[in-house]
Amino acid sequence: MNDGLMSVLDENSDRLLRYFRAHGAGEAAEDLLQELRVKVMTTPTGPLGAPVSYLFRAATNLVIDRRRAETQSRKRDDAWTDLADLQEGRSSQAPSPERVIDSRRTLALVEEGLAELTPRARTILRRHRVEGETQRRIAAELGISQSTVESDLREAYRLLHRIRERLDEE
Amino acid sequence: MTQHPDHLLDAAAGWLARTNDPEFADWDGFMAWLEADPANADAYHQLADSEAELLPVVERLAPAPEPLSAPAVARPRRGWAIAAGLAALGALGLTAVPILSGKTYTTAPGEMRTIALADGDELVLNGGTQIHLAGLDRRDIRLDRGQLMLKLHGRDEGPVSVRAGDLEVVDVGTVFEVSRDETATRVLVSEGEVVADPDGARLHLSRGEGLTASDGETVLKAEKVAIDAAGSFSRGQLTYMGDPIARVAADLSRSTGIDFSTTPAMAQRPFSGTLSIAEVRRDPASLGPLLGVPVKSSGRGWIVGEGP
Repeated sequence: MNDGLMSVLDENSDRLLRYFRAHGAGEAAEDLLQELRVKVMTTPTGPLGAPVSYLFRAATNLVIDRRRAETQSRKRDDAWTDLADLQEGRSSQAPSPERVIDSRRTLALVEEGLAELTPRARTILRRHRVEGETQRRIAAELGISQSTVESDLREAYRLLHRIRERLDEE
Repeated sequence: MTQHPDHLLDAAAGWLARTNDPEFADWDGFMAWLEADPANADAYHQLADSEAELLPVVERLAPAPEPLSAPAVARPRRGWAIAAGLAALGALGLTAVPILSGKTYTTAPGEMRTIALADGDELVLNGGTQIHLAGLDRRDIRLDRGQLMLKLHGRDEGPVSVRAGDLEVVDVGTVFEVSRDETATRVLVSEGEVVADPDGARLHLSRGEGLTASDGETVLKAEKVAIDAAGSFSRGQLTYMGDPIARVAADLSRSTGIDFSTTPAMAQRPFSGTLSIAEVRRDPASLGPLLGVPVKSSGRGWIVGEGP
C-alpha cells in the first residue's frame, strides 16, 4: 500500500482532474483519475522525493497510453515485431517476404531520417530517452548548457514526428 | 490527423522535451499552456505518440559512437572534444554504419551503472569495470575488467554469452555475476544455470555455485558459494564465504572508489561475512574489526593486514 502517495493524490485530485481535462480528456477525466488511483495502489514505490511530480508524470503517461491505444494501427505494430526479428537473426516466426521488405523499408526510412539529426542530438536523445539520464547530467557530461540539451531534444522530437508522417504516407 | 502549424509543433516539442525530463516540476505551467488552446494538447499528443512509436527503432539502431562513461563532474573540454569528433564522423557520413559494431561501457571506481538489454534483461556494472557489447543484438559480452551482474529473464531472446579472458560463460536464463581481475575470472550463480566453457569442458553451474579460473587453466571446477553473493554489490553489500582477503580488497576498491590493498601475508587468508559498501566508504578503518586484521591508512589508500 502507498498510503502516503494516496493521500497526496487525494489532496491533489481536483488539480489532477483539471490536468486530465486540459489534455482534452473531457468526461473521461474521472475515469482517468480512477485509473491513476488503481495504479498508485498497485504499483510499489520507494519513498518519493517529489510525490506530486510523480503523480503528474504517471497521469501524463496514462493520457498518452490511452490515446495510443485508441489510434495505434495494428499493422505498424506487426511491422515492428518483424523488424526486431530481422535484426536479431531470429527465424522462428518467418515473416512473409513482403513483410520483410516492408520492415526493411521502414528501418531504412527511420535510419535515413535520423541522419538529419546532428550526432550530438542523437547522442542526447539516446542518453535521455533510451538510457534515462536527466538533462542536467547530460549537459554536464557534454559540457553544454541545459537549454542546448533541451533544444536538441526539441529538434529530435520534431524530426521523429516528420519521419512518422513520412511512414504514414507510404 | 490534424496538421498543426509549424510554430505550434515547435512549442509542443519544447514542452515534450521539458516534461520528459525526470526532473521536470512545472506542471502548473504546462497545464496553463494546455488550457490556452485545445490544439496545444493535440499537437503535444501527436509528438508524444510519434516518439513512443519510433523510440523502439531508435533504440535498435546503432548508438552514436561515443565513449560516455558518465564522469561525476563536468569536464567541458573533454565534452567538446567528443562533440567535435562526432561532428567529424558525421561529416564523413559514418554515423549510420555501426549497427554491427560493438559498444564499450566503462565505469570509474565507486560508480555503478545499469544497462538495459532487450526484453527486460539488465546488466549491472560495478565500479572499475569495462565491458564491450557486440553482436547483432549486443548479447555477446566481453568483460575486460571489473565486475558485472547479469539479470537475464527474457525468454524470447537468445542466450547471452560473456567472454572474460579465455573463459566463456553462456546463460540458460538466469541471474549471475562475472568478475575479472588481471588474469583470473570468477563466476557466481544466484538463479538458474550457466554453462562455462561451452565448447570445451561444458561445466554446468547452478544456483549457489561458482567457479574461479585463471587464464590458461585446463580444469574447471564448480565450488559452493553464498546464494546471495552474486550481484550483492548492486544492493550495496558484499558477501563472502571463505574467500581470500585479496579478493575482498579488490572488490572494495571497485565498489567504494577507495584504494585497498593487502599485504602478501594476508592475501590468501579466508574471510566469511557480509560487508556494507556505504559503511566501508564512510569509515575504511571500520573494516579492521570486521575482517579480524589490522587496516591502516597509507599514502594513497588503505592497507589490509600486517607483516610483509
